[in-house]
Amino acid sequence: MPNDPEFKALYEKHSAMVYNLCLKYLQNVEDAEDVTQEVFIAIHNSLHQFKGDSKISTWIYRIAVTRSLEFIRTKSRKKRFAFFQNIFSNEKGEVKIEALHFEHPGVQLENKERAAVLFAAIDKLSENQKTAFILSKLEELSYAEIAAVMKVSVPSVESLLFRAKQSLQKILGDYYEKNEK
Amino acid sequence: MNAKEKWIQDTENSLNGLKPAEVNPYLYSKILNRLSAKVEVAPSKLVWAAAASFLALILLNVFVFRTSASKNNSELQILAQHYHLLNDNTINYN
Repeated sequence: MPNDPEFKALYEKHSAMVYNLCLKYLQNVEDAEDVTQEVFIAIHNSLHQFKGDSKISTWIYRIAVTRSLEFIRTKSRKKRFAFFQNIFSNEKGEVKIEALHFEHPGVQLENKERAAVLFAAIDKLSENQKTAFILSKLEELSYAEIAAVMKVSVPSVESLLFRAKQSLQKILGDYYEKNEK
Repeated sequence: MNAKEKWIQDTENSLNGLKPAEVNPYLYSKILNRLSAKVEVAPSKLVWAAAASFLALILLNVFVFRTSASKNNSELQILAQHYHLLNDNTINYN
């Protein structure tokens, strides 16, 4: 039953966490709402399969991460298809240019510009580096919790975070050279 | 620390103290709507029963077709013998 009290309680406890995690991945309010809906539908449909061998929050994090990454992949495929369609089409179709800089509603006013640059840089990381960075720096999960969500070892998380920081410094350094110097 | 390094560090720290965004208050209703609108999936037993019935129907059709075909064949032979129809499709008038 969709409207059962257990599901409602689960939604009330975890919806903010799921929505904010999706927002950090997708950097778009509408997309984050869509994926949050997908996540809770998946939770509703597979709640009976949850074995309790991990914390329920870990399980929900895992679903949210997976769904967000799937959404990004689908969107990228559509973008590539639209790009090629545009190349091979004689008609001048409307090319939707999405905002390069996402403004998170929770960022302090004085940091808005730099936060937008950082979000754009995070978006360029590989899936695993992005996940490790978001869960560690923005969600403030422990290495053990990140390892449980990603189903990898703690040393792997440490390695991913190290490489994510290196990649970010490189991306930000290049941005600085082009735009801020 | 040079200007570039400072800029990178400040940018990396720009998400410190990030406040959580508020969830759309209508999101739960949207989820309930989508769950209610979800297409009902037939139980697997019912699916197997329907598949078995369909297969039985096909087999029955094949069986009836083959039986009636061989029956028609034998009836034709009887008819041919009755009218002395030869193998080369000519009629023996003798």
